Amino acid sequence: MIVGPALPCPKCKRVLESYSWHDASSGSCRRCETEFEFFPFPALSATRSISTPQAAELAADSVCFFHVENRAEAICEGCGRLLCPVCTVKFTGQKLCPSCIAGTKSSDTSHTVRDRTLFDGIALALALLPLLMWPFTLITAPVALGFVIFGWKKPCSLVRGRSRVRLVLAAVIAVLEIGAWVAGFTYLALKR
Amino acid sequence: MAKKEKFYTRLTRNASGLGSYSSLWLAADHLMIVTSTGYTENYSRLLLRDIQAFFVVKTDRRLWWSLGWGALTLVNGIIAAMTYNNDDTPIASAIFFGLGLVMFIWNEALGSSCRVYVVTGVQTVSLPSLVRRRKARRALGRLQPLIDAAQADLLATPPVITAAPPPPFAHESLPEAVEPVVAEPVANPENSGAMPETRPDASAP
Repeated sequence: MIVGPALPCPKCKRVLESYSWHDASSGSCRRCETEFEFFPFPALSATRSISTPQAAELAADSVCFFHVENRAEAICEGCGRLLCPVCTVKFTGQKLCPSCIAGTKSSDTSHTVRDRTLFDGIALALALLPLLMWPFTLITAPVALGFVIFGWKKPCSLVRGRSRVRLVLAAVIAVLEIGAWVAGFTYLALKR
Repeated sequence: MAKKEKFYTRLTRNASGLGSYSSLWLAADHLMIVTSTGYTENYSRLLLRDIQAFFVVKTDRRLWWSLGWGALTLVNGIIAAMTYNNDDTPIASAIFFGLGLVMFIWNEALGSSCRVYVVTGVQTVSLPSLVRRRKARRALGRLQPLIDAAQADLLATPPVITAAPPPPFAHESLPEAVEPVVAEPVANPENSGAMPETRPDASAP
């Protein structure tokens, strides 16, 4: 009998029974009758070694910057502080201390950022979409231009790169719309 | 000036959802799911070394789209035929008939549909950009060697059996020894499926 890992069914979230498995790479949940293919990796079965901190026994031992009672076993690659295994975090291929990671997060680098506001998308939508009901452009065109100015130096999409094509396009359309309104009002004023 | 190397490479194209679209990107050590509304982007990262398995579940997406496009094609085909029989030119119905037929064939050509889930130590995440089996297999085929390489140390080394902690009296014999601080399991980012969370207050450790 095939005995697969006791993982939750991806659909109904109930733990898959041993008889749910057809073979090592497929099965079906007996409760929700979901057929599935399965691609396991070593991390599923392997036990990862977790290093435990050692107490500093001698006064000459180097101790952790954050835990003076623990012996230091690594050096932070960000700030050079001595760290015990508790404080050593392997992060983006480096050994860093929690403070350095917190600093990385606040500086909004690509490794840690969780979301981004796309000012170029907002500006372009504000410039283009109101054209369907053009009187709204009286308000939306200056707002779009404002978003272009505000978002010019803001970080943009992580994956699309730093192209400002959308911002430039939004700015051009917004300026044209504002120009059209100015021309219209001028024409009306002169007509009177 | 040398061009800056790209940090992320695209793994899948955008797949649209309800009011948002999603795509999959690959970095050197992690996989990133990007969910975008057009105005905001959300990033979910999965370290390659933490990925335990993929589930590929068959879905009825292809069937439902085929039924939808088939119904559109059929209805417009009937209307076009009736209009043509009445000696009129069926312009609108012919356009919709053609559109429905193209989309029906396109949907069939994309192949069977599926949903892919990633299993890590702490969560099971759906990959919304992989909805067709052929595309999913291609993406998983590209990911598989990278994940195996990231987990090579797990392949090579058997589970490490750590030595039992010294008995309490061993500490008593050393006046300077203090009980070491051990991280709680939750705070250990090596076992989590996501990128490690950072706590802004550095006072905790």
